[in-house]
Amino acid sequence: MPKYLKGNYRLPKKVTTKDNKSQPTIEQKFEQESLRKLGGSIAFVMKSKTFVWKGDEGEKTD
Amino acid sequence: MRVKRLTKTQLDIIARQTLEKTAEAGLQNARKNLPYIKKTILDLTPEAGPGVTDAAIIVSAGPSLHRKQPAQSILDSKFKGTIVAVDGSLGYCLRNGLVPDYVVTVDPHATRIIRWFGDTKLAHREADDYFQRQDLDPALNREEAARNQELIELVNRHGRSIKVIISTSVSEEIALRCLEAGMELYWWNPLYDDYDKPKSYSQQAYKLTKAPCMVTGGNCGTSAWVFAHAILHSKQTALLGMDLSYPPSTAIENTQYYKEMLELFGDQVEEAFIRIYNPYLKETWFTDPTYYWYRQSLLELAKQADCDTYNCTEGGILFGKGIKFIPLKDFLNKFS
Repeated sequence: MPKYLKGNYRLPKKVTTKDNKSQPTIEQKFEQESLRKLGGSIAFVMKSKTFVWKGDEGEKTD
Repeated sequence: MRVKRLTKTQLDIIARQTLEKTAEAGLQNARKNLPYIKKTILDLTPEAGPGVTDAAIIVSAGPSLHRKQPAQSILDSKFKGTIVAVDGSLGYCLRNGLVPDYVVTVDPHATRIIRWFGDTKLAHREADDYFQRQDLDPALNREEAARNQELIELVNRHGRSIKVIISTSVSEEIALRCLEAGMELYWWNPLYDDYDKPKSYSQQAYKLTKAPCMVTGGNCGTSAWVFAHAILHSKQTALLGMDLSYPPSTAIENTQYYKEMLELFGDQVEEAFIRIYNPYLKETWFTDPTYYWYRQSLLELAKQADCDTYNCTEGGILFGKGIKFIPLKDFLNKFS
């Protein structure tokens, strides 16, 4: 735009363009705040193909 | 701007939030459940009933279960394998004459989960409109008291034929209700987190209960699939009602996390749902972030499992490497 519009006067204050920074995108909102309430039914982790962990004896099966 | 897919970072956030939301509650429930923990899933043997099996059907409770009504097809096929229901589909199964061999339950919620077994204390509960909105068992949307009473009677009638694969994380009331109905209880712990860390929830749950810890995939349906694979050693496992999403015509107000989504996204709520085109159905279904996490988790688990998984839901968004998306009749023709 500045390529085509040029003023013949100076503004008293420097004007900066807003890059929507005050309006987070829906994805940013999602990461920042939203997932707190969207947890699933139960937690889980998967480690080295161990579907069932039988405890301290170190016996692991799938 | 619509949410298209979730990044790994976003999925990890959901996983962490789920751990925060459920692990402490699950562990507290485990302490209360201690008096009832007599047998674990490792006590299931072929002699104890349908233990080791070549084929199994997981009856999950997504909307396709009620759209496709698969119970009669299973009964007609005289399927010889094992039927594993999730708690939310137990009512559907029993109302349609399909008595599952097992029912899996895992969610630590204090008052809602017991409704899947028929809540003998419903009249004394605080008002909760969840069952009028939920799509897991639409039969419970109306005439709640009457349908609850019907379910109590069905569960009491068939309880002795059903083994409960019961997580230590569930409310003590579930254990008592199942015992009251004559069900056998086989306990397990959710594999909450890294068991190599001494203070992990998994370690604490194991030390407390001495029950094995099983991967859940974040929800009851995936827990049932893991159970069929890792405990029953099913080599051919069909999934029903595993939509992990909503049919295109569903009103967003009727989705599982609508209230939370509305609170978070306000007038942008519709854009926060994720649309996924299913090439098998040639339809675009939509899902919320949590169900998308379930979907991605199950796809990852299926790749690592030494079994064939057939998604016979005939709906939803669960397709990809490790999952064969076929009609139920094809599975039944092959394995009945």
